[in-house]
Amino acid sequence: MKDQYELLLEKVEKPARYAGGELNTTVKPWAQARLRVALAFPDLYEIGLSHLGLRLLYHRINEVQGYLAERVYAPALDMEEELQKANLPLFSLETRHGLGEFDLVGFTLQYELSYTNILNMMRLAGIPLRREQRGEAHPLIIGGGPGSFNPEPLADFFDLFLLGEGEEAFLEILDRIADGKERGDDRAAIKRALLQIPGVYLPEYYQVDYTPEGRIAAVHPHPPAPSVVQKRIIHDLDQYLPSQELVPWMEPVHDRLMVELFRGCTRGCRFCQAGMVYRPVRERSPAFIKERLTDLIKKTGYEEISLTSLSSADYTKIEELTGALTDCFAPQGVRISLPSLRIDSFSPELAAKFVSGRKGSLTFAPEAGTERLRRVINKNLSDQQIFETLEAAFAGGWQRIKLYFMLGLPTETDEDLAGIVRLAKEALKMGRRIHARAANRVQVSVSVSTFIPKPHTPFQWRAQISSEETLRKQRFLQEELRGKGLKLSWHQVTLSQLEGILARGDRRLALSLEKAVELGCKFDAWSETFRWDLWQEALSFAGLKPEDYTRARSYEEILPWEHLSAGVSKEYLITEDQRAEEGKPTPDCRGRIDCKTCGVCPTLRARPIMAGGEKD
Amino acid sequence: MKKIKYRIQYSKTDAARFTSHLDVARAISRTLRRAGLPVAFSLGFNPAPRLSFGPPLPLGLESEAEFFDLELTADLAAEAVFQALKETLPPGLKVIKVQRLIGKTSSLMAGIKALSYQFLLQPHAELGQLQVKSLLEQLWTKSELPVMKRTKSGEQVVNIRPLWLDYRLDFEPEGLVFLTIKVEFGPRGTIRPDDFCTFLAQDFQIRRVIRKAAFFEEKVI
Repeated sequence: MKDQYELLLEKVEKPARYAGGELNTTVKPWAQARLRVALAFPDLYEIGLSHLGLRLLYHRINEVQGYLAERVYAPALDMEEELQKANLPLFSLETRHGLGEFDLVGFTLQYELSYTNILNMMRLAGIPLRREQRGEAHPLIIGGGPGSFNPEPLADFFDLFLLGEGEEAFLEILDRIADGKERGDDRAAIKRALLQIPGVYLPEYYQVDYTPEGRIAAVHPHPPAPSVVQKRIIHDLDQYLPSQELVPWMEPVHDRLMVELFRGCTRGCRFCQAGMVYRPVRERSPAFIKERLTDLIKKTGYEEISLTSLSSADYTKIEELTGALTDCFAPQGVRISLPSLRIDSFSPELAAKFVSGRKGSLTFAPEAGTERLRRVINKNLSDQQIFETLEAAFAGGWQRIKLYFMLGLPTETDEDLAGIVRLAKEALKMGRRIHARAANRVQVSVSVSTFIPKPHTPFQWRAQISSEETLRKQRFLQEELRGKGLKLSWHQVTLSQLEGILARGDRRLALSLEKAVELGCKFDAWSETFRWDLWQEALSFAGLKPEDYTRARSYEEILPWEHLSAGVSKEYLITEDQRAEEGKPTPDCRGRIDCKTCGVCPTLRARPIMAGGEKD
Repeated sequence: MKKIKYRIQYSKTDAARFTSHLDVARAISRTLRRAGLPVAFSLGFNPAPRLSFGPPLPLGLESEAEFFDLELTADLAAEAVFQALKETLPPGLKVIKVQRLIGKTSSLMAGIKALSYQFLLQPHAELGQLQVKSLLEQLWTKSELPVMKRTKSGEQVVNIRPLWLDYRLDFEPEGLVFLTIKVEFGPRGTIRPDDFCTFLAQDFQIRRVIRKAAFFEEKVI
């Protein structure tokens, strides 16, 4: 007969989110496992399943005999309600065990606005939120992903964080825990042993003192914890190409086979956290990628392969690889696609072949409206380059162009906003001239987000613009970008405020997070569920204001994440911030053998790896 | 290019029952690629395998009578196609029968004239066999079985009785009852199991619903 979970599934709108049973999932016998890990994504299934990192870890852990990894995603509101009515804990997809029954629950920290979901998932699983409330019977809670480069707002809720890439380090963590459990070690002893693994951060070993104004006075590491935790990377990516991939029933946001061409990015855009924390660049070899994809298509049957990376067209062997893959897979009806192309690597031929969405629309990201401001952020495109690319795109047959910008970048003035308007209007004019016969079908969409200074970037000390200022800038664009053929979209102001608060947040925010969840905050990234009013209440409950976190900092101030290192030196970040102020570009470090500018290679004893060999 | 048509009957159980019609279609087109079958593709920029499906199955139901038609560019024995699918269908989908279609055949949607569903019922009260029989007899002899249908123009009452073709009861141990109904499928519409359940809900707890069979105009399967 049906178990109680089957009955729940019949009551919710999209049961496939929780049913499991997808192709190529691993269901191991629960009782025989040495160690049981739940991999949790704090958003809906269709979002979480599109995320490559957790899929990689899932297969990697399950390849190890004795270790069991299962998945769990944030339940939608209807499922949350049914779980509570039935008095059942949030459960894993594979064997439907409550999260609390696992030895370890790993949350991926992909975006700040998912933090309330993490606490809500723990709550729905009956796991005490605060670390000190948990005992021997509870799972250890671990976080990873970009958020672990400043996990301080979550520090009181987690047992440990892993900084950097997990392929090797996560298994080392599992080994320590499994060994400890078998020896009969208690929680404290297991955690102490975990301290020996490079990249592991245990917040309880660091005491943070604050000044009366709420600035950090000092961070005291307790031995044997290192004074600075250094991120982990894997040196040879070819060693860790996945050999298995699951195929969901329900369509996730990105429904294709994803493979990373490389990790890291050398462009050095000063606002970009990913560009800073995933260094250095390490490319995979084209032959290896092709071999593994051949195997994975046989195992999955996907009809599209996406070659993902921070800027895929920068891959040194991009033409050789896309050519070889097309020859190999086109006869089987499998498409090869690249995520959106950069303006300076665009060619209509490449786009026609490899950018999905075809004659629909093309997206470009100038990020800022004037050459001056683009130099400030080190996205060094001239207006002419932008127009040449747009012209090529229109001439290549595209009628709809989407341009992506940020508002509130350091040193931005109204002149830069006017630059956005000018670019958009010029683009429209150009499109109409090229598509003279279908001029009314030409559309230029402008999408503006609010710039949020992120930790470990040259702009980490900068102020985030206030709500009022954001609104004023948005209104400016709303008034200027009107009329047929122009479209403007923007981010909800308060959402960006919260994102900024959490991004550069400290441990004092724990109280607010807890309160927010108690008040019912969840799915903060979704504007229809986001409740700024409740969040304001939660902030003032802890005696905090948005300005405490969105404000500018001095280089001397101790930042909440200063004991956590992504390998990039503070001197480099300061130099880059100063060069930004002076409007000086810094060249791409791709292919420069002796470049020690950012410090990541010497610090991590790594070097950039190029599939095409290094150039001097 | 030569195109050979096959008709495949498969079952849908376990987690797969929570998969929508569209999602199953995608899963099957991926299955064909894994199976390495010489599938005929549609023309165009995004070639899709030439596949057509039978009547959609409501979400949550299991089925022993799901169908799709498939075109291959090589003349394979039905048994070879059966084996290839057996090895590659995702968990929850199982191939039951493969038939190579010869000559002109109606499509699945046009060729299927009736469907049958089986309900596993647990009577609410202490209903004996005779009472269950008489309850169904009463339902069967009604000339009107009205259900509310949501349409584009609001709600509408529809009489589903003319679409109900037949039924049978099988009594199981512990008071459980299998009710199998046969319903029309075609231009006049069909009866959704959910709609039929509205007339059973008062007297029975419905434990399980399975689509059992499809009836074709010409006897194909």
